[in-house]
Amino acid sequence: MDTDANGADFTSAAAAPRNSASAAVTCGTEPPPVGSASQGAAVDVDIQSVLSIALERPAVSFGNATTGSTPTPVSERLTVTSNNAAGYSVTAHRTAFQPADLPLGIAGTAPAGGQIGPALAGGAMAAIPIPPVADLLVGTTAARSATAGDVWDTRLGFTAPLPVVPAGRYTATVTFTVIGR
Amino acid sequence: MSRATSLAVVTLMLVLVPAPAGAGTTRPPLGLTATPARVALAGTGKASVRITNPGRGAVVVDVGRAGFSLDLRGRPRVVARAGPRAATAWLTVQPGRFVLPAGATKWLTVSSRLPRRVEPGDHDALILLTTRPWRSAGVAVRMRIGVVVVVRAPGRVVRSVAVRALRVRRAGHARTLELVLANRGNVTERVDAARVRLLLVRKGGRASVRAETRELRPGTNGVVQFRYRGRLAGWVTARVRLTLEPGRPVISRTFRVKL
Repeated sequence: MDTDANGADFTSAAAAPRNSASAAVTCGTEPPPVGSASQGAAVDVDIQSVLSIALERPAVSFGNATTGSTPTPVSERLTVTSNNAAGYSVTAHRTAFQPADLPLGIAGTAPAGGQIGPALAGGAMAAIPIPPVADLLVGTTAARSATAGDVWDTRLGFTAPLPVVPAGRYTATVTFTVIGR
Repeated sequence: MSRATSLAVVTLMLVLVPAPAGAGTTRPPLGLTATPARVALAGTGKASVRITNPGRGAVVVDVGRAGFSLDLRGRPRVVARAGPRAATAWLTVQPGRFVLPAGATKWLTVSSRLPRRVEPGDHDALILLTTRPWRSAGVAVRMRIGVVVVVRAPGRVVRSVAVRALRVRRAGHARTLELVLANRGNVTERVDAARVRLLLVRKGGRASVRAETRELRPGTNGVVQFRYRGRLAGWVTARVRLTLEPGRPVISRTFRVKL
């Protein structure tokens, strides 16, 4: 009880300072936790749909050829990347060769999980149509592509021996179209 | 200098300028990427599409619009004549043509403007991104990406899908069950393994077959494919359960098919 008389309320004692050299003293009980709390941090990301196509080469040359011969097909690998769960389809069409048309075709194999178009089944060389004829179905998938993309191992060639046409340089354009399903 | 000439000059310069350091090792010679690959617009509105050139060389990209359809098995098609639910005429895309150097990115703005009188529900179209061919080449090869744009016109949304038939198609050992659905509603329906289930039952065995994902445009019929490589053979009972969305009634049908 405080008597308001310091001489009665307090007694003096020798100072007992402590430092790192002092003997350690173990606490009798666990210290109360230092103010701790846990809080979840919400993390989210919106992954956008993506569709990508890449070509092995921007142009194909069959070199020198003669009437009646069938030039060796040239590889034109397509790499398609898509994260659409329903997959995608690849089609092709072309312009007519100038100055006269030649029977350009395509053959190929599908990547794992892909399905080659019916006209290309069994390694067949299918004619590439000229609009307004509908595009040729190269193939379809029904799932997301591989991380590095699906590789369609296609080859451009001719469906028949070259017809009798005037000598000269013949050019055309092939268009590969990819659309998510 | 005309716009076309200046574009040609810029293109030539870009083709002659080497790609950035380090770009040539893993980059394909020619490439084009679009994201998102599918755009949904609510009525009159705008969206952005990011176009990237992952290739080693510059490309010139022409942007166009076209009609869109899905064939019976859900394969997309570019169609010249717009169908009754086409949004082609409502869309504008800017810019209409651009040069994309190797590794570069460009944003397209897709805008829709609805006409005064329009049927409620989904209407669609394609934005076609086509690279210009190399004119010097014998057979030039170009790439085209179709970005699907779905515009939902305001009004009452009707969701209704009917199960029509189930048939079996054989290709070698593989058998594909084809479920014919009709979308009688006015919005595009996504049909996948979570929404449609197929159970094959035969004395002494049963098998659950997974549906391939596809979309079904409004007012169209379509086939959902189930690829089956199991042991069941002969006549089986096939039970189909279709749920368009949680909380809605389940559509159940039973068929007898020969595997």
